[in-house]
Amino acid sequence: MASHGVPRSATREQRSVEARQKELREIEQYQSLVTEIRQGVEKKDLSPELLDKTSALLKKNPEYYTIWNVRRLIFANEFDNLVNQVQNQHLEEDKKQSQVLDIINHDLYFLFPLLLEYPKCYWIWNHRLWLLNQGSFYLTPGGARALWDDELTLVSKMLTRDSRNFHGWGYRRTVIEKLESDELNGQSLSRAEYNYTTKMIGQNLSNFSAWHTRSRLILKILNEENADAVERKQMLDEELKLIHKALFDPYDQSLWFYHQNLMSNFDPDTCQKAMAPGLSQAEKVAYVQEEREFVEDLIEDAADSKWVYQALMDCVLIEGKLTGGLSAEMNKNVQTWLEKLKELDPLRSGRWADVQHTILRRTV
Amino acid sequence: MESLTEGVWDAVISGTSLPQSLLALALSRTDLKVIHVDRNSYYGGVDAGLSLKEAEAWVEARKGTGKVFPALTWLTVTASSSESVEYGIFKAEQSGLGLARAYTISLKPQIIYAKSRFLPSLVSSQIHTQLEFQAVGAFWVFSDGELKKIPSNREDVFADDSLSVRDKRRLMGLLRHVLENNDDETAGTRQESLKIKLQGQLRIPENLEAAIQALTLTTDTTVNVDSGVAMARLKRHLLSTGYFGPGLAAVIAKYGGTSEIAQVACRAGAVGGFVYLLGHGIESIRAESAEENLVQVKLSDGTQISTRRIVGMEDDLPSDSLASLNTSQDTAPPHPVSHSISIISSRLGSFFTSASDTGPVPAVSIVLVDRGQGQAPVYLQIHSEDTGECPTGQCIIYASTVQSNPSAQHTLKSSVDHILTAASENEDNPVVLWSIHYQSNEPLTAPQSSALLFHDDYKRIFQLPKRPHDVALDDSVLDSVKAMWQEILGERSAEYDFLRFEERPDPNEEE
Repeated sequence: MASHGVPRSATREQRSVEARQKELREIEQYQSLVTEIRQGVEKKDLSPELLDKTSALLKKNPEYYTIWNVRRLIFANEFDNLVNQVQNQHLEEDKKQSQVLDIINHDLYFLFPLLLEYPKCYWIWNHRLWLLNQGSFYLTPGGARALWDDELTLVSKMLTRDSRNFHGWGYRRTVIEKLESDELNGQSLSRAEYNYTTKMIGQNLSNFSAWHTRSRLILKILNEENADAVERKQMLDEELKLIHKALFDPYDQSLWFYHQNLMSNFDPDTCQKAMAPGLSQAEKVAYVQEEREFVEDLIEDAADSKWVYQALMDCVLIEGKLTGGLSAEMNKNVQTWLEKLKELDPLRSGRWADVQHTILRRTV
Repeated sequence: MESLTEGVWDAVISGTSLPQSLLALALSRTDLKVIHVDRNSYYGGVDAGLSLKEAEAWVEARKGTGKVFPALTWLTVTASSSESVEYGIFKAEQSGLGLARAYTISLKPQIIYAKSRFLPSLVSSQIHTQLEFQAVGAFWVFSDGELKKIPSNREDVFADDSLSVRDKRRLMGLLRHVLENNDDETAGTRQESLKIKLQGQLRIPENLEAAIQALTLTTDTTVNVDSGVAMARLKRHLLSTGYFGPGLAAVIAKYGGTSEIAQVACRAGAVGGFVYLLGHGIESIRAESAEENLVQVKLSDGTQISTRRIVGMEDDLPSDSLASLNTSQDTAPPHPVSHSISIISSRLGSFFTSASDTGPVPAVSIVLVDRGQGQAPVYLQIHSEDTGECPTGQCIIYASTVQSNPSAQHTLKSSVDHILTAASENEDNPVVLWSIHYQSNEPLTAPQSSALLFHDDYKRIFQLPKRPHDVALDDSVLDSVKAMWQEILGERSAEYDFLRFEERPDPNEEE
C-alpha cells in the first residue's frame, strides 16, 4: 500500500505457467461470486448467505462500491425486520437495540482489518460512517455515543500509523462533528482538537492536514467562544508566532501554506472570512510590513527557496492593495524578486511573467 | 570425532574476537575442516563480555609490565613506541554491588547504526534470530557545565526552546546540506577540517560545534577531524534516525553488544562442524616445506596441528612468527586510548526516556563531554539495566578518550562525576560503586583497503586488522573478514554468498 514518501511501483513479476493458471482460476471464482450476488439481489434474497458472499468479494476488492451497497441493503432489511417485530409486539425495544448494536459491531469488526490494509479506500470509510449513522438512528444517545467515541480512538490510531492520510483527517472532523451534536448530547471539542493539531504538527511539521484542520478549528473556536476583536487579534498574534517559529525551515511548502492563510487577515479581499476581520487599515499595513521584513530576513539563509520570494510577492501585493499602490522602490524590488522566481521556478516562468505584466499595468 | 593431530585442517582460527567469529560464521556452511581456538576460558577475545570477577582478573593480568602470558608479549607495530599500560580497579566502600555474575562488562561496547551494512548481514546470515536488539536513544552533549539533549531531526530542533532562531536556521541548513550533498566523497582526502567546514561554509555558531561532533562520533578535536569523514558519519546518523522507529538511530545487542554477536557467530561455527577449544592458545607456528603448502601449529597444551592456513589478530599469534609483516600493506597506526568502565548506583532514568509514546524505550545513551578547545572529547556510553549488563536500579557507564597522558584517567573520572551530578533526579545521589580503568592501543581509522595482512611468503599465516576505536561498529570489519573468507575458499568462493544463508531447518521438526 502506498504511503507518503514511498514510491508506488507496479510489480511486474515473471509469471510461470502455474501462476498464470492460478490467476485465471481466481478470476473465474471472482466473476462467479459477482454473478451470484447480482442474482441474489435480483431475487431480493437478502439472506445471511448473500452477506457472506459480499464479505468474500469485498475482501478481494474493497473498491467495488456496488457490493457495499448490496451489503447495506441487507442490513437495512434486517433493521426493518427488527423494527416491524417491535411494532407487532414480538420484540422488546431494548432487545431490538442490542441486536442492532450486535449487527453494527459485527460489521465494524469485519471492516477493521480491511481498513488497515486499505487505509485510503473511500468506500470503507464511507461504510463505517453509514453503520455509525444507523447506530445514531436506532440506538439511544448513550449507546450511539459509545460507538462514536470508539471511532475517535480508531481514527487516532490510524493517524498515528500515517499522520498525513487526509481520509483519516476528514473522517476525524466528521466524527468530532457527530460527537459535538445535540442528538448525541454533545459539547464543543474544539479546544481539545486544536491541541491535537499542535501535537501532530510537533511530530511532523510537514503535515498539511494538521495545519488545515487547525485553521478550520481556529475559526470555530473564536465563534463558539464569542471572541471579541481583542481576543481575535491575540490569537492571530499567537499563530503568527508559531508559524515564524516553524519557518526556521523555509523550504517547507506546508508551512508557507499556513502563513498564506494567516496573511489573508490583511488582504482586503479576504479578511472578512479570516480569524480577525476587525483589524483596522493601519493595523493591517503594520502587520504586512512586519511580515515582509520577517520574510526578507530569511533570504540570508535560504536564497534559493522559491517559497521565500513567493511569500515576499504576496506581502507586497497585499501592501499595494492596502495603500493604493506600490512605491517606486518597492516596484523595483518586486521586479528583482520576480526575476529570481523565474530562475528558481522555471516551470512556472509563464505565470511569473504574467504577474510582472499585471503589476506593470497597474502602475502605469 | 577426528583427532586433531591427524590429517590436514583447512584453517586454524586463533581468537574469538568479533572478526574471527564472523569468519567462522561465514565459513560455517561449507564443508571445510576448521579448528577455532581461544587462549581465554571465555568467548569474545577483545570483544568479550565479562562478569565482575572476570573483569577484575582481566585487569590484574595486564597490570605492571604489560606482559600477559609468558609465551606472548604485546607487540607494537612501530617498534619505537613502548607499551605503557595503566590499569586500575576501584571499589566503593558503600555496598550496592550485586553478585559478580549479575554483571556483563563489555570490553568493546559498540552501537550498530540502522543504515549500516553490518545489520543486514546479521539478518542474511540468519543469526539475528538469536540476538535481541535494544534501542540506542538520544545523543547528549555536556558543555560548559550543562547537559543537553541533541536534536536529531527537524521536529527536535523545532521543539528545542534553548536554541535561538539563528541557531535553528543554521542547523536546518546543515541538515539539508548533509542530506542533499555528497561531501562524504571527499572523505580521507584531508582537504579541510571539520571545524573549518562548520564555521565556514555552514556558518554553524561555535556553541553548537560540540553537539554536531557528537552526532559524528569522531574522536579527535574538530581541528584534526577530516570534514569528509565527519560529513559521511553525520549523514549516516541523520539517515538512520527514525529508520526503525521514532527517535531511534542505532541498536545494540542485549547482554554485552559485540560479545553476544561473537558468541552467536561461534555457535554457528560449531553447528557447522568446526572444532572449538577454549583455554588453548597458539604456542608456535612452523612452516613446512614450500611444496606442501602447510604449516605446523603447536597449541599451548602441546597438540600439533597440520593446517593450510592460520588466521588471528595480532595478539592471537605468537610474536616470533610475526617478524616479517609485509610492511607495504596498510595498517593504520595504533593510538593510545584511555578507557574506564563504571557501575553506577542508580538507573539514571533521565537518559532512557522514549522519544514518543509509540517508540521503543532506549537502553543506551551517548554523551559527548566537551573539554574545550584543543582537547579531544570524552565519549560516555551509558547502558541501562535493560541491556542485561547489570541488575535493576543500576547502570553502567563506558568512558573513553583518545589521550594517553597520566591525566587521562582523571579526565574520564571527572567526566563521569559531572554526568552523575547533572543527571541525578530528586534525592537520588548516584555514585560509582565499582570501576576499572585501562589503556589500549587502537587505530583511530579503518584500514584504507581490505587487502590481507600476511606474514610469510607462501601466504599461510594471516593477521586480521584491529578494528578502529569507535563508539559505533565500523562496517570495514566485514571487508577484512570477506577478504579472508575469499582467500580460504579460493576459487570455491564463487559457489557461496558471503554471510548470506538459508534458514537452517529446525532439527526438532525433521521426522
